Order: sequence, then C-alpha cells, then structure tokens
Amino acid sequence: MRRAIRILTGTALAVLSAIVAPQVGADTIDERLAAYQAEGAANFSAERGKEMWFREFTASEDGKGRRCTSCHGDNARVSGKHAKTGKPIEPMAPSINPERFGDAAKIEKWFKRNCKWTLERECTAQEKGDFLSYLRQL
Amino acid sequence: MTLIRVWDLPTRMFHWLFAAACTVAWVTGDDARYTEWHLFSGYSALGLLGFRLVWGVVGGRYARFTQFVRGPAALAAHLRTLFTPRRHRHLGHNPAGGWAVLLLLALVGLLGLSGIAVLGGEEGFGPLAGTLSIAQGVAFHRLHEGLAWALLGMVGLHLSGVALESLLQRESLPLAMVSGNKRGEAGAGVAVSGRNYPLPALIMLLVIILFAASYLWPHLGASEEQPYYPFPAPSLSQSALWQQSCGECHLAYHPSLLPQRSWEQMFATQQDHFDEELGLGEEEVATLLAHARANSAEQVVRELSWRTLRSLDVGETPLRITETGYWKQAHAELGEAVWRHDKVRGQLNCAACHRDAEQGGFMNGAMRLPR
Repeated sequence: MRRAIRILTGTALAVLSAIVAPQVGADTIDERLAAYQAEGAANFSAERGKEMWFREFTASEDGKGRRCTSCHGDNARVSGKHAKTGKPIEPMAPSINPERFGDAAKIEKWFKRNCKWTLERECTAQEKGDFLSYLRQL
Repeated sequence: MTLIRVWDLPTRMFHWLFAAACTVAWVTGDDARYTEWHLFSGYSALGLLGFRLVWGVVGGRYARFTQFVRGPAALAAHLRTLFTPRRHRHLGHNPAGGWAVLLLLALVGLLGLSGIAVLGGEEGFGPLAGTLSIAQGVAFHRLHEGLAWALLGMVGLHLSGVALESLLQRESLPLAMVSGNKRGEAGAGVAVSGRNYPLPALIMLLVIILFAASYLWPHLGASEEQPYYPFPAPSLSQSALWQQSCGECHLAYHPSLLPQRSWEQMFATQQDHFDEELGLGEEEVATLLAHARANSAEQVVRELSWRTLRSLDVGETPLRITETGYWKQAHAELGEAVWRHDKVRGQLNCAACHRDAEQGGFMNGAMRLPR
C-alpha cells in the first residue's frame, strides 16, 4: 500500500513538472517584459518585432548588410549558422527548442552582443520586448 | 648444368617481406594519417632484421654471413674482373652483393631505432616515451629522414646490381629469389636440393600475421560514434567555462594551440573580437585567461605546441591559429577544394577533419579528410 502511494505521488509529481516545465521559459520572458516596462517600454508588438527581425542594417565595417537572420536563418524553427564561423545555432522558436529564453542573464548577454553586431548599438528595452513578443509565439 | 636449391624458404620469405615492409614504410612515412601503418611496417622490418641476423648464423648454407661476407680484396678483385672473361660466377651472393646485404640491413636497423626515438620524442609514444625531449625527437626525425634517403639510394644500387648480374649470368636473379633455384654444377659440397627449412618459414609467417592482426583488431570494434584513435591525445587540461564561452560561436580552440602572449592580447581586445563585441564580464575574463595561461603552447609539452612556438618570430603575436607558420606548413598541401567542401567551409572548422579537435587532440590518426 505504501509502495503504491509512493508510486502514485511520484507519477503525479512527474506529470505536474512536465506540465510546469515548458512554462519556465514563458515565465522568464514575462519577467523580462516586466523589466523592460519598468525601463519605460510599453505596448510590445510582435508585428514590430518581426519587422525588425528581418530588417537589414548596413555594417560600417564592410558596407555589407546584416540582419538577425544572417545567423539565425529565415526560419526560426530550424537551426541557424554563425555567419562567420559556420557553427550551428539552435532554433530560436521555443516550440521547437524549449530551452530557448529560459535564462534571463543569457537573454541579456546575447541581446547585447548580437544587437551590437547587427545594429551597431544596443537594443532599446522597447525593441527587446518586441523581439521577445515575436519570437515567443513561434 | 642442373638446377640447384640456393635460397632456402626462410631466406626468400624474409627477402620479399623485408622489401614489402620497407616499401610500405617509405610510402606511409610522409602522411601523419598513416603513422600507425608506418609503425607497423617499421616494427615488422625490425623484427625481420632480427630474424635475418640469427638466420645469418644458424640458417641455410647460402644464408650464412660467413658464406658471403668477403674482405675488401675479394670485393676489389670481383669488381676488377666484372667485365672480363676471368670473372667468377658466385652461386650465392657475390662480394658486392654481400656488402649490399650488410649495408641494407644496417640502414634498416638504424632507421628502426631512430624511428623509435622520433616516436618517443615527438609523439610521446613507444618504448622511448618520456625519455626524450621534443627537440631530441625532432633531431632524430631529421636523421631518420636522411637514413631513409640513404636506404632509397642503397635499394637503387641493389636493384642495379641485380639487373647487371642477371644480364651477365644470363639468369634472372629476382626469379631465383622466388623459386630458390639457380643453374650450377653439383659436387664439391654443393647439393642439388639444399634443405628448405619450412618450419622457421611457417613461424615467421605466423608471427607477421598475428602482428598485423593486433594492429587491425581495434579497428574492427570502431564505429562513427566510437572511433578508434591509435594515438590518443595526452591528457590535456579542459575547462567547462572555456568550452561554453568560446564554444558558443566556434570550436573552443585549446589554449595549447597559441602562445600565452596571443591569449593575453585576445582577452585584452575582447571588445573587438574579430568584429564582434564579446562583452565578457571581468570575472569571466579572469577565469578564462587563467586557463589559457596555464595551458598555453609554452606550458604544454607536445609537438604541436613546440612546432607552433618555433614557427613564430620573436614578438609575433598571432590571434588566428591560421596565421602561425606551423599551421600554414601543416596545411600547405591541401587544395582549395578542401576549404570549400560543404563539411569544412573555411579554415575555422578544425573538427571537420580533426575528429579529436574538440578536446584539442589533433593527433596523428584522428585526421580524416571529409568525403
């Protein structure tokens, strides 16, 4: 009897955590969006995020076009490829890659590094919120 | 005139296996991918040499050193009368051939011993591993190559002598080394059918087969997931942070591929890292730099690092591994097609060919050009 209870509670916990786990990334995104709002951003738009995700910027270095999709690829549901090194980059879409957007520090690290490369400046809180709003639904 | 058994079976088998071993060693010597088979053929030649030295004392009549090793006077007389009617026909080796045998055996012996010194010094493998420095290994490498050229020259002389003697005797000496028989007169201690000694020949064959099997065996158990590397890399120090921070955008090149000064400059200029602003935290940089300093090319005892350092000018601080002289030299023979290959795409992707690049191995035998 005791054993049966243990197995039952164990199974229940496993099922519960399986339901909760995919929400962790969502929580992190919500938490980031709240933080951006605290910085003055508002009314995040997936539409604006998408437009910017595909927009081309001209690099002052070589005059060539740079886009988010230069490395992440046009389809966020498949792997991208580092524009210079060719190293594969896991898909951006959380529906395909549940580990995406699970760590706030990582989100900020890569926003910083990649906005600097693509836009040659850091992204604003509004832009970051728009990006996350667009990418989370993919 | 009748056919006389001159070369017994072990002598003939030795001759052809020895020639095959030297040929394989010559062909595989220049390509690090085949180091394993270079060693197999080299050790085989050494083993065969050992057999021949013993057989030269206890073997068949014409295999014995006392039968064919003559002094300088006999050699001079042989060469002087070579093209005159007074020339003497030798059933076994003539005096010049006898000296060729001794020189060939000596050269292969020295080649084998110097090869073991190269293996111990440069690669850290074999019976001399740990007893020789890399610099000593490199010195022996030069000697080994010089001896190989000398052996090639000696083989050329040997073949010319065989051709000449075949013409003069009107009898194919290579064929005699296959059948064992030569034309001659029986009598005066010359038996028509000398002993053939099949047992020593059989033992020789068995030993070679077992030796070859010991090299082949591990390859049979290998797969794509668990490849077999005959020369595993030395235990190189790894860092999880290094693998993560560097490995996010490219192969986490092991610190032993560049000198300390390169790594110091790499992290000092991290805000302009090949056109990317890394934005690493102070603490992260400190940890990464400590790993780089402790495992830079100066710190790790391995041929790759030694040669990389040697190929740099004083004060030259490469940030790209591909800028080092040793990298260029090691990849000089690769054609453009390799770099354009779909699985390679440029010169950053070491792991496309060096299957142990992730851990910094870059060992002989772990390299394969992609198909």
